[in-house]
Amino acid sequence: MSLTRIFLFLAGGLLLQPALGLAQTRNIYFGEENRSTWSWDLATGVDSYLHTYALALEDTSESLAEFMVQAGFMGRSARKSHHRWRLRTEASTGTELWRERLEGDYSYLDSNRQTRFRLLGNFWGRQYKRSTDFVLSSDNFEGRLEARAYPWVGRTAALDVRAWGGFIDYTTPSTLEVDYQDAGGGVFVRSQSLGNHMWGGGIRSAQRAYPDSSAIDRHTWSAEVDYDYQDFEGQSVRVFHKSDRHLINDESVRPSAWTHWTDFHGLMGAGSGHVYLEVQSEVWDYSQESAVYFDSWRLETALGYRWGDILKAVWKVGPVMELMEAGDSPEAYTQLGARAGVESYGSAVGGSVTLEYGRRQYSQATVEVYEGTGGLDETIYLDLYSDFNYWKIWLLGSWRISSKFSLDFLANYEPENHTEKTDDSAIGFASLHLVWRP
Amino acid sequence: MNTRQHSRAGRMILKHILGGFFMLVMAGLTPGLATAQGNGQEQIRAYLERTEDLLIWAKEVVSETQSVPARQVLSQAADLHRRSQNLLGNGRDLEALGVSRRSRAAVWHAVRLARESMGYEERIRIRAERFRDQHSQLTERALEAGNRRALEFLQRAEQNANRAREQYHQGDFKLSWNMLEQADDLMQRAARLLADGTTPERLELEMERARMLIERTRENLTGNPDPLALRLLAEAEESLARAREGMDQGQPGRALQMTGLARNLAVRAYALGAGGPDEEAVRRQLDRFDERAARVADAVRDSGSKQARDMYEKALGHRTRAAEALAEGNGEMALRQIKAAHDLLGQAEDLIRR
Repeated sequence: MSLTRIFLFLAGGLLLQPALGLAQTRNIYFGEENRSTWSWDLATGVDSYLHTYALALEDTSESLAEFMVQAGFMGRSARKSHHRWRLRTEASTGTELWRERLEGDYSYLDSNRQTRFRLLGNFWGRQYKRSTDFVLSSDNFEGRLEARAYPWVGRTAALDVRAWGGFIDYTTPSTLEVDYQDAGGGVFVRSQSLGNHMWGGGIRSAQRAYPDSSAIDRHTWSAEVDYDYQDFEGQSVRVFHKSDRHLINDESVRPSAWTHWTDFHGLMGAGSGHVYLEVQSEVWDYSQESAVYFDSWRLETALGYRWGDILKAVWKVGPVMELMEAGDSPEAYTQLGARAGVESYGSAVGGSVTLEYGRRQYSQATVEVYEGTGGLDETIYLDLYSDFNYWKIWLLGSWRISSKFSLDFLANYEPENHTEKTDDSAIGFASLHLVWRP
Repeated sequence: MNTRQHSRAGRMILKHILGGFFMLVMAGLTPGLATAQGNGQEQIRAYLERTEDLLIWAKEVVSETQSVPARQVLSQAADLHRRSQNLLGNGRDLEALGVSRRSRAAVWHAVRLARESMGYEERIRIRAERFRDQHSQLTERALEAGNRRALEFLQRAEQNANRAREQYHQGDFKLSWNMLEQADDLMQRAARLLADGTTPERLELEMERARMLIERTRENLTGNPDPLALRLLAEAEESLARAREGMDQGQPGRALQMTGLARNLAVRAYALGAGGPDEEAVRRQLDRFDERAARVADAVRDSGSKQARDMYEKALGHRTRAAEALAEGNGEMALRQIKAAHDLLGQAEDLIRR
């Protein structure tokens, strides 16, 4: 059954090309200016997940390795066309599940080559195999379709009006595999510049409905702005802010909330390199707190020095800090560490290695409990969370074996070594794929 | 009651919940209880009943989230509780107490995992939305620029975001968050490549193309050009000069970055000045094409590349049509044809340089 599906997918793609009078070229990205181009790719490899944490009865190491083969079929219109489109279909079979994906992107460009309309779609199908090790294994179909219109396009900016819809549909819904439907719209203004200043902003409204659990249906209003600047010296500033208002259908089940999210990335020339500063701030303010939903402010920063040439090697080193303020909640912590990394985009082999080591300390994880019943009269102190040292190891690599073959590698591993040994945990992911682009 | 008052009230509720929970826990941890023999069994029975209350409370908390690890730990807590009840039923009181304590520890662990996961669950939703917007913008830019390496990074970023999405559906939010962060990292590399311009092996070619684009733009900005276009053109020239400095100083990455910026600025200047090409501008483009074509003709012939020869012939065809359109007074068409001729000639040059 599944092999038949893959065969039909591949055969269909092959048959589609002559039917549409399409040309196949060696390289889709630098293809014809005036003709549509199509290409294939085949990939095979292993994705491996690891999550180790203590259970009540024993420690658990949940590891899952999936071997898979994937075929991709991709086409795009001529670059000069007024009807610009891109289509990618993928199908894969792995030891855990079958996957299908369809991604489409269509744009209409006017006589000044300005985009006036855009349609973006993404659809996923997943069918779990009987022998799967995944905990949740209901087959599902997920999709999202977004339309964007640009009714006004000026010399420096354009008005962008959007509407979208999305859904996930499980074959066997459960409390953990919940169907939902999304719908939303937004109005944005975005710079038209191809130069060194780019900016944008807008508001959006989105609704999510859970057919089997309408109490948690929600409506979100959002406002966002972003700004991107880069100068001749490689100095840059990138800022993004978004504020959301989440309104929950039944507040007795889940409280409504405000969230404020801010990202800042800055690069400033210093000597032969650059000083970098990255800040991420996240604020949650619930209308009513509960055992699960609590107000918090998380601030993550990285400051350091970056030097070198991107085609040889770029090095970076510096301290990192994360702060969690959570009122009286025991989650409040301070995390300090040091991060170092190297990256290169060499012609045959490229990639990056990033290492981080640090420590997290909970400021009020020790809770004071007064026990005044049963003739016992004493105050007891309990540690709800335990401090820990951690490593973060991130690897990313690509080896261009030839013009048609490449080997892509991706991994991260984050072990935590707690003062309370039963709290030790580790999380990781690794992926190794051989890709053939004929 | 305003929001802040609600928050304080919420903290109080949480504190009471946790306080109550620990009172129950500590009641079980007091040494005196374990050693009691007279009414000891009754006390242990009461202790187990409280554990059951806690399990019900924890189930409500955990059910607020989609966290699978929290559910697994809670499930084991329930198993332990059942085991402690059996032990008590068999008269093994002290063993029952020990197992019930472990059940309570698991209950707390599950609640903690649920609270942690709630933070990740919402954070992933916001981050995924941001990722989707940025990814669609960058993909459009990468396709426009024909930047293959950037597109590969974007494709890998999307694959990892899809994996993150699957882990999210599996209820493993921390792993999903990590994978989404790595997808974001890949996307930022694509953004940097797009800002820097191109791939290393094409540096000289790209510098030459940027130089030609600047020249064509300058030729197009005749008559009474837009001041903004002139300023952008000046910035493009300055950027290209810095690219050459970077090359001379053994900094190819910087040279790439500056070349990319020069090209972007020149494209923008060209677009601003594209409103009305005059006849003279098109003639200059025709002359320029003839110079280039004459320069590369021998190399194309000697290269033995059929593809390069085809490109060259097509370029000549467009050049002829440009001259015809100009003769008919159709400047717009003439400019389009000569642009296509230049582009095809550039591709032919590219092929024979490989």
